Amino acid sequence: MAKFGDILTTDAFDTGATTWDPVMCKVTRTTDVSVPNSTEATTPFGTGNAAEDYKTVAGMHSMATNTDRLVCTRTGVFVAKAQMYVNAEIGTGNAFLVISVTTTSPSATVKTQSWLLAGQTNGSYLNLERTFVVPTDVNTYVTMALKNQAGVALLVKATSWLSLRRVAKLLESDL
Amino acid sequence: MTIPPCCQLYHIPATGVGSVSTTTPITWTIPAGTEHSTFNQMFNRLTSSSRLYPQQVGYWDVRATLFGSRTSGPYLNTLKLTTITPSATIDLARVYGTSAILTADVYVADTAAYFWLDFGGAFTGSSAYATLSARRVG
Repeated sequence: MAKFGDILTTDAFDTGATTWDPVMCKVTRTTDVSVPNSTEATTPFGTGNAAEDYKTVAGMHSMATNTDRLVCTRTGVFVAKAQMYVNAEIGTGNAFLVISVTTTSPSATVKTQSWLLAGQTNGSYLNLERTFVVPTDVNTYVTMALKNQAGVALLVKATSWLSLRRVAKLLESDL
Repeated sequence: MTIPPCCQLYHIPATGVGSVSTTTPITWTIPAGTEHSTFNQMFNRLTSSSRLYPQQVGYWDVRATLFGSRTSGPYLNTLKLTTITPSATIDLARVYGTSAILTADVYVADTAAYFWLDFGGAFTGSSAYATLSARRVG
């Protein structure tokens, strides 16, 4: 227990793995995937096209079913992060990285997006972070998508990734 | 109350610096005692000034901010993790531009690994700033 006057730059911190109780998962594309023009397509992370970097709760992701989803599996406060590497030639239109948070009961989806400007001639990276609360529905899940309004088909390149992490538990008094 | 390991570094360029960095990691110019760390081995100003060492196996939330005028572009800013065993460097997050916010969650299995920044190109003048932080989250 730290007390007033303790020097916090010493090594007096938690090293016990059992106290962390991490709920987190990260998946990364290993191949490119094409998204047609005028389409918003979620990015799949399945066998043969992606890898699970880590997964602390088995139900957070499947490499076979609904592979585009990261499932919260717990109540709490969560942070979803995504990075999308999009190929060249955006053209005169635009492209967006979209993080969607979907609840199953009631069924609803809330989207957050970042914008890749028109006229890019080099491959570009889109980054986005989203914080949200899961009060009751542990089946709430997160996806990332490319909304392609570029006028041409685009590639979501290998190395694009999506991660989900619980950053805080909820107390009964919070609900 | 337990204190999770975390550390933040600030880059303060010296006045009149013509070019802060090329493709190599910047050297953190940090006045003594101004780094913020709960673990005094995560950063060594003298011997590894551009690196942030997590030192523990676990899950880490890593973040960086960058700003600096560039002579031309685009330059690719990259948040990197280098491991000693196995010997490898991986890109955790990337973005083009003169300013950038980078973040990634990563599992670190190598206690000798370290985080660092690659600016991808030289800055002009002395107006270059950066922060790098890491916090254990699991």
